[in-house]
Amino acid sequence: MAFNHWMILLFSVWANITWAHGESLVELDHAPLNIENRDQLLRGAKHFQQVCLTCHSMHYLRYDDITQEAGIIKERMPVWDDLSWGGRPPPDLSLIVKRRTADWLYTFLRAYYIDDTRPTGVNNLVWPNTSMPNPFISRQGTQQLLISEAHLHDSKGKYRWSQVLKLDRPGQMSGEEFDQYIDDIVNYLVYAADPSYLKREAYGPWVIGYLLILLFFVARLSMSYWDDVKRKHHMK
Amino acid sequence: MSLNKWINDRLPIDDFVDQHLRHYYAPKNLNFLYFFGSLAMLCLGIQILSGIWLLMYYEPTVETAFDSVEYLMRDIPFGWLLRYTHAAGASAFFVILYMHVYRALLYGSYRKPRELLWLLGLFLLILVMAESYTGYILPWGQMSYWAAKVIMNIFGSIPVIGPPLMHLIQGDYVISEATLQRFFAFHVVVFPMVLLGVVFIHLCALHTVGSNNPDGIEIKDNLDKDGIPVDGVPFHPYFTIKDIVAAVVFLIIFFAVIFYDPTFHGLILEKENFIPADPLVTPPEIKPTWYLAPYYAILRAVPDQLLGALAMLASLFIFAFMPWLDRAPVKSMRYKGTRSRVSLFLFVVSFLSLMVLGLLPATPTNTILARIATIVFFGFFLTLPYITVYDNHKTPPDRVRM
Ligand code: HEC
Ligand code: HEM
Repeated sequence: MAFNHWMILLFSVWANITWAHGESLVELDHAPLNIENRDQLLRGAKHFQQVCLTCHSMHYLRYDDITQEAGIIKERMPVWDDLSWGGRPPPDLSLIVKRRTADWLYTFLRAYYIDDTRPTGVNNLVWPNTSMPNPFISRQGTQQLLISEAHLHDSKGKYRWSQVLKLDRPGQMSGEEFDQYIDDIVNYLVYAADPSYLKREAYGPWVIGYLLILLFFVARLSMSYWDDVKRKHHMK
Repeated sequence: MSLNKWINDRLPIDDFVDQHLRHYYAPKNLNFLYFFGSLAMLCLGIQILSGIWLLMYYEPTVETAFDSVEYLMRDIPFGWLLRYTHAAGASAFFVILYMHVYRALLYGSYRKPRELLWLLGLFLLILVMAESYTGYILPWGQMSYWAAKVIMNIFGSIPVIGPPLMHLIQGDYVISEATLQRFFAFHVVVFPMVLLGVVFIHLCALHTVGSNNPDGIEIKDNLDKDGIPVDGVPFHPYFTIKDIVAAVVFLIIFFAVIFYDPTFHGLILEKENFIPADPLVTPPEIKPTWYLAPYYAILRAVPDQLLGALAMLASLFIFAFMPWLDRAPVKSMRYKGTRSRVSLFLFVVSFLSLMVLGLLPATPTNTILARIATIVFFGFFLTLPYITVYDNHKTPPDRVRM
């Protein structure tokens, strides 16, 4: 029906706008999520504690067991004045995935490159001119931009970060190790934004399964009442 | 036994149940579109119950509102379930109400003798909107704050009474803690109480005139020798069981959303609302919730702010004239002519388009589309008296079809 086509058309227009890249200069990679894996979450939490916690807090996870086990505790969380960091202090990251996306984070954290014009000495393809320094220089190494900035802005969203950045000085980790490392952090942040995820996955099938069984019985009961009414209607 | 009698001598519970369930006759050809009334009551129940529990943890101050919601989601056992239920419940309520209203448009349920039932329904719709608007401010996220501000500015733009009215509603010259607490009181006490009362009256009106049906003919015109409609069946057990089936189907979909996609790609809970409110930072775009988006699109479509606000109000209140605008000799779309059908179809398309456009940024193309959709929207009502008279209507049968 024409009506359905309309709906699909309208929906795709809407989807295109809401899921657009925002300010990113490159196409985002797809973050391989695996939130059910507690070991990986714990690994990510530990990386967070080692690297990010110096600047970022994780306020809403005070009583979360994975978070506590990794040593992310209130006493260690930094508190910044609104005016520090040139008015853009490192924000709390408990809810970051709700605002950005996992894909955004996964790409952002790997897309730093050397840029001497910036106060931090680095710039980022996904979040141009961010004031966050690259926390991974020792692990990832340093990357150089292969094309000019102007060309990059013209071809916004056409390339992937790995096509325009080249590792010029390797760090302690191999490329694969580093991807895995970032993936762990992103997984933890996805979990942090909504820890109910694991519980929802666990209870969901039971609740819906129960309702489906209930549906079977009430539908049978209803049909047995209404068969009668239908028979009489057609006899008349 | 004797306790039962003792009570019934003093309070006619049995009579009431007999009169309104066992011996209340509803047309036997009611289809699935008739489930949405009882589903709306279910939604109201879900909202009130989950709301009471949220209330136990929510703290309505600027400092604590956002945090108390996040703590509830994380630190209180099943707090996430309560919050997601309440948030998804609001959206579900509107899906159901819009279907409920669409049903009335489709089968002419607003026509004599159900005018008052229809007007009470419209009042309920506006109340539910007010309820969700006041609730939306409570988590005190960015979108809570800025959406509240946009609507308040609309009030403020009314000549003469605007500014004092805005001051009265906000309790302050700007959106502040006073506003938050005012909205809290309205959301938690005033609107729910009025809603419950009006739902009761809506049902009283319904039981006085009886349900319409997909054929749009009155079952009370065909009574048997005992004065019972031949095409009616007792509400209990026939419709109680059917409504229960509908409720279970609804709950399956509802819980599937809550357990597997509770923010529904930002349609149930927007991304921006996971940032605490900040009066100094305007979000890149201020969006209404999807169910209020059509009216927002109309507001933006009109070049002048005051006229836009009037058009927005008109887009709600114009529904009140439906019973008198429709002059067709038949009620149901089943027997109405081609023009009436095309007209309703265009109306639905315009409403859905406005909904999508209200969520998109107001680019020049979108504004033009919104203007066209606004004209089609109002055109539906304004042309109704002519279209319904000059149309090739069919003759409905004497008895309902099944
Ligand atoms: C040296 C301090 C520092 C460290 C360490 C650090 N960040 Fe940041 N981060 C910042 C600053 C400063 C900003 C704000 C940047 C801006 O506004 O441009 C920021 C912003 C961010 C944002 C964007 C927030 C938003 O509002 O969209 C994310 C995501 C982020 N950091 C993630 C991380 C992660 C993950 C780590 C650990 C791997 C980390 N950061 C380590 C300083 C730091
Ligand atoms: C809180 C919101 C509401 C509740 C709880 C509610 C409840 C109900 C119930 C239980 C019925 C009988 C079952 C049915 O016909 O589906 C009904 C019928 C009806 N309602 Fe509502 N309703 C609400 C809002 C509205 C609105 C917004 C409108 C229209 C503007 C409306 C108009 C009608 C009409 C016209 C009927 C009779 C329909 C017919 O007989 O064909 N109601 N309502």
